[in-house]
Amino acid sequence: MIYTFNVFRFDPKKDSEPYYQEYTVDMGESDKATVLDGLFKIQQTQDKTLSFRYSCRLAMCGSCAVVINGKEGLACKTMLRDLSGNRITVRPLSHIPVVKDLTVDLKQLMKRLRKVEPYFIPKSSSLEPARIPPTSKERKIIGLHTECIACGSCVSACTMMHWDPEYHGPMALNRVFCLVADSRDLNPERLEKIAGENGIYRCHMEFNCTDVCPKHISPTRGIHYLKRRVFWEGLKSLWGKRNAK
Amino acid sequence: MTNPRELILKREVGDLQTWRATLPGMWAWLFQRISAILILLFIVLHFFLPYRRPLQFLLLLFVSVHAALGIRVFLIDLGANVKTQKFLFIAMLLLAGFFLFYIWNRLPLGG
Repeated sequence: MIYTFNVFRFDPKKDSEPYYQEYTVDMGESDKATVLDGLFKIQQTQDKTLSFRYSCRLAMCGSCAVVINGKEGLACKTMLRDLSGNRITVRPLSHIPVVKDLTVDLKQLMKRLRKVEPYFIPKSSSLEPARIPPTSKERKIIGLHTECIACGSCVSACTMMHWDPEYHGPMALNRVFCLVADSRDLNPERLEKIAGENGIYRCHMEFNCTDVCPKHISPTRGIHYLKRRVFWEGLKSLWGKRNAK
Repeated sequence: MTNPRELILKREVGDLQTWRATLPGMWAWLFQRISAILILLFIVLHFFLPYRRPLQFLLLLFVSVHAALGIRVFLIDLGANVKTQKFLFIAMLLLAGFFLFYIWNRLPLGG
């Protein structure tokens, strides 16, 4: 089948403005061809200068996240047959600086993640492995949220990232949710940090992050859990202050 | 070019494809925000032009939509499963329609 790819092109060293370039590609009879296959074919047969990022090719690493026909997705996971029509527009993720063509600067994503201290701080210094039954309430609350592959699709889909560039974003807040919901984590300031101006209250519940996540995680769910936790912790501290008087 | 330009893309509201790819949760959010602005506008109009049936109908329509979508937000805030958000969006719009129909047919709203 023949597809027309309308690909975003921009080389910051050469181009003053971005533009879209059209490529007509024959993907053969296979119904298993993906958008990434199409990009490879363009690069190998038509335009060697086309830049895009990829690594695992099986939706595990998140490197190939792009915007396909207006919706974020992994190029390696998005089948051409699942897209309506044979005209496909591919552009880089929003809210992250473009390095070249479809490649974005992931340093920005990591910088946002670093702001929320995305690492586990254990309460106990025991070297014994933790035993968390999969049926425990805590594990059920965290659910699939630990499966985030940091592809940046949620950050791109979230419109609040545009209005507040300092907003931690769904990816970082999802990580905070995993840590806050984990009773073994010791970081009393974690909730305080995300309750500020650029934290959880910037989420306006548009569900864009949830709808585009290639791993079917709902950062909105995590953010709502955090909002409730901040509310109850605030109430508890007010109650404590009142009793102390 | 000597100085590389930093380019950060955003949601292009002027692009038709952006709107075609807009997802239900986003539509729910937009409907609620737009209805809030329209409520303000129609309340002001209602003060200056009272008892006009089309104006009353439109005011009631926007209030119903805004309130019903507010209930959806409220339910999710209180811990309703986020997987139900699309169902809640449709269910709440139907509820708004039902409410509008009920009020419009049952209550005396002037001449």
